Amino acid sequence: MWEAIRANRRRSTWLMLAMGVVLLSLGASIGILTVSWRGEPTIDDQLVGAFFGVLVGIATWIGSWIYSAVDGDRAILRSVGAREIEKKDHPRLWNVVEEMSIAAGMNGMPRVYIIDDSAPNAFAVGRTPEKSSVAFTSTLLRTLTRDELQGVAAHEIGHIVNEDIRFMTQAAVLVGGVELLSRFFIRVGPFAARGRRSSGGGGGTRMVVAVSPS
Amino acid sequence: MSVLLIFFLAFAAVVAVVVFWAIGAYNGLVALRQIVRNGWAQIDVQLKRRHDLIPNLVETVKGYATHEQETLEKVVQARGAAVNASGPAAQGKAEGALGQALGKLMLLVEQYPDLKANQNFLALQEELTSTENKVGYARQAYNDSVMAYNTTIATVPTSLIANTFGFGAEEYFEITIAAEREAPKVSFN
Repeated sequence: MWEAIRANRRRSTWLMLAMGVVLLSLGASIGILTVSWRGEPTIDDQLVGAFFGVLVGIATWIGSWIYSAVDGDRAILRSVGAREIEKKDHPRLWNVVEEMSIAAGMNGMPRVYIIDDSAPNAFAVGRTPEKSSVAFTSTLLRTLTRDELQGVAAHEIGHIVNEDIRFMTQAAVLVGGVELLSRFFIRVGPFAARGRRSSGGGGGTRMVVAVSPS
Repeated sequence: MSVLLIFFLAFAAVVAVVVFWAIGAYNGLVALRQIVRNGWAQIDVQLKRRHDLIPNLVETVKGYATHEQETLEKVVQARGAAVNASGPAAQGKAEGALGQALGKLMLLVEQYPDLKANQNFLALQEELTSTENKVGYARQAYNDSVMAYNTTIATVPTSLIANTFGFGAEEYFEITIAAEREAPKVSFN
């Protein structure tokens, strides 16, 4: 799961720009396919379909941007099963994060999360440094010395202070927009699965959403 | 328009520019001094925390290391001196001495495996380590802000404003450890 992080980060710049194009074309395609559902549509019908499809695409794009701003960080943390901790739950981790926040000249410190996972890893999410979170896996906490943990925390705080996290969080949530559109497509489009509620499909996207920021 | 009026207007314009500059410079100095004070407040919080932790530490160590009365006494004394010190320079010195006394205590603790396994002691040790780190990091930010402020009040033309309104230089915070200052003695006998 964590190997994908690096690959995702390399592509995330491209992803960010392409996502708008993808969502709009996806919307347009849905629109055209929807009007083509029965018989031969006229050019005008297709244009109307494409127009409304593009509208849906734009709405999804804007919607996922707003969503990423309002709830993006928590959505990511939820999807990897991170739980927020207080100082008493893991004093050393809490202290290390606080130390690095002071060193970086932050106002206050980010929220701290622990993920139960067998891989040693950590990441930071959030829209602004003031509303940011850092997450560490249980294995990382078990295997690293205090000094090593400090290095990892410094790295993640660096992401927060440099505002890498905003971009990462937005990119991650934008991927969720595709899922949204595809569901729309499945429900109303010509290939809609009738009489069967689709229950799967979310898992894959959630995985991508989870692994984007590091 | 008479020549006199033109001269008067030009003079008024110059005065206005100078006044606006002076206001800006004064506000700039106030802002810089606020940053220094805020930086000091950050350090002060951590120093107080450190002072609060030490009685606990002494009590815990006492229970295990009964023969280290003298070292414990020194820590308590150094803590008292650090609590009473005021001003960044004096506090830095006192904190250095306290750090040294604590360092000696922590070395002695190595001889007491039971103490080293004590959860309470471990928690205190973690807190002390962290507090020391926090002081160190807060110190960097504070000293940077002092340097920016002291440079501004000492350089022309802001120094004119600083002198007029009594902006004095701020002290740096350096944790001075006596032994660190001595040059290492090298002999080739």
